[in-house]
Amino acid sequence: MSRLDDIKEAYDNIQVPAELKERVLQSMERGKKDACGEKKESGKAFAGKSERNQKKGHLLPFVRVAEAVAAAVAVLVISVNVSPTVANAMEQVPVLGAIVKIVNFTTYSDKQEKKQMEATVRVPEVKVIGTDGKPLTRESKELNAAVSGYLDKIIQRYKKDVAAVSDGEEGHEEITSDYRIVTNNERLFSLRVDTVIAMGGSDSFTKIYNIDKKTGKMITLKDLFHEGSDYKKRISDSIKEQMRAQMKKDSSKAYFLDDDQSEWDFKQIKDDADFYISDNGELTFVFDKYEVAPGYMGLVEFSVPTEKLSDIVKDGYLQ
Amino acid sequence: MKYPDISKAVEQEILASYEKLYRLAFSYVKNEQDAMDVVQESVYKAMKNASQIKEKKYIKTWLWRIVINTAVDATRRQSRFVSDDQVQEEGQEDRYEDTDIMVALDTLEEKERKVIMLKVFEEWTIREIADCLHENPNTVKSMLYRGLKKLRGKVEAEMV
Repeated sequence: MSRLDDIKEAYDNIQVPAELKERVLQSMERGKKDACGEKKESGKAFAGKSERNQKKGHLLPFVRVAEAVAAAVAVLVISVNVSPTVANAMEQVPVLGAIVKIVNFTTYSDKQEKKQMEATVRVPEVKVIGTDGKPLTRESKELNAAVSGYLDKIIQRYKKDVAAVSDGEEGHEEITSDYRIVTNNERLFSLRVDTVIAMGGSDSFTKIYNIDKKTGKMITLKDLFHEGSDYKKRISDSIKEQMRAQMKKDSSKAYFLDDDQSEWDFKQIKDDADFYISDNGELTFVFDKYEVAPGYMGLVEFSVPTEKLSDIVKDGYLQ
Repeated sequence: MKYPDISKAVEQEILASYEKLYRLAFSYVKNEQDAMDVVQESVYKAMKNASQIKEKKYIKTWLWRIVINTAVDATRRQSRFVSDDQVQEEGQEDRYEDTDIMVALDTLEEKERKVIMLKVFEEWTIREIADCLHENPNTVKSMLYRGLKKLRGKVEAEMV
């Protein structure tokens, strides 16, 4: 308990700078002024902002990461579309198996200036091409339906949140969702979709779609292993072992494991776990923020050494 | 303006509590300049939107909510800039040793942290906290319990 008192004491001892009062009064005046002008012209809010920019210096004028990412992705996709050479180089087109590629993308983008809410959701369109060079229409459709269905739920959630905030109130919500290819080897193609929802705190989650290049079909964790094998136990044990080792080595790391509040503990890998194959051929899992660790750890990943699974994995998935 | 008296009441609330608001902001951003920016930005937002508060009794929780959100946004911006040399330099202006102690708060989950700060440092009631964070009182209670537990655990680990 004494530590908590220390924290409280430190908190109470924070010195308030003398100039704060003056700055508070200034901001109050500006806020009042902008509140009066608000209804007449909608551009006023922006004017108020830029005025603050000058005053505040470094805090406001930051490059929005989402926009920077958007620009980068746009460039990337365009180059895929126009240049087959670039596309092939980037996808490391395999000699055998289906080819999966992102042929296009659409962006849902919305900004509610007054409600302080915004969303940018990038929805990829994927095409699966069979070993004979012909497009696999059904497989492509299934994959696209899964991806766009998932992202649509995120968009609908945002729209619902916007509707729930009445005019004049602030929702403070920012949703950003983007995708990238995390595995593209001879056997597997993994498309990862990352979403961050910031509302006061922030929540991050991931969804990974895996396509077996032998068949062009989507697969889940169980499809990687021979039927009846104890893959779940082996994977879970390996992850737990790594969690313990990390926590022991570095006290700043924390996972939900061996906690006396055991309902939070990581127990076993789930059927729909998000995974991909890392560059060195290891099965790698991604856990959402809060899923297996406190929020400050963010999204966490664990790779399971291939030798722990090599006798039960189906041919070619792991290296 | 529709509710001039509300605007006036918001003004009074700000003047009565801006130093506390600053401490809260500081505990997030951990340097003087950013903490003042957070307070300024919040005050601006509050005054600008003051006419939208329907009842006076919500002013306090509403104001604190704005400051907490603005402070959290500011820390997110700080973390985006982590590799930026300029920001690193500015970070060194920070001359409060107490910051080290408060780092313990950063290890809490965001919601637990808010509850702890409002309950333990500001001595709010569970009901006020629930209003401010838009959570139900039972959730607030369990977050408080969890947060306290984590802080205590952390303490013991560090004392050894």
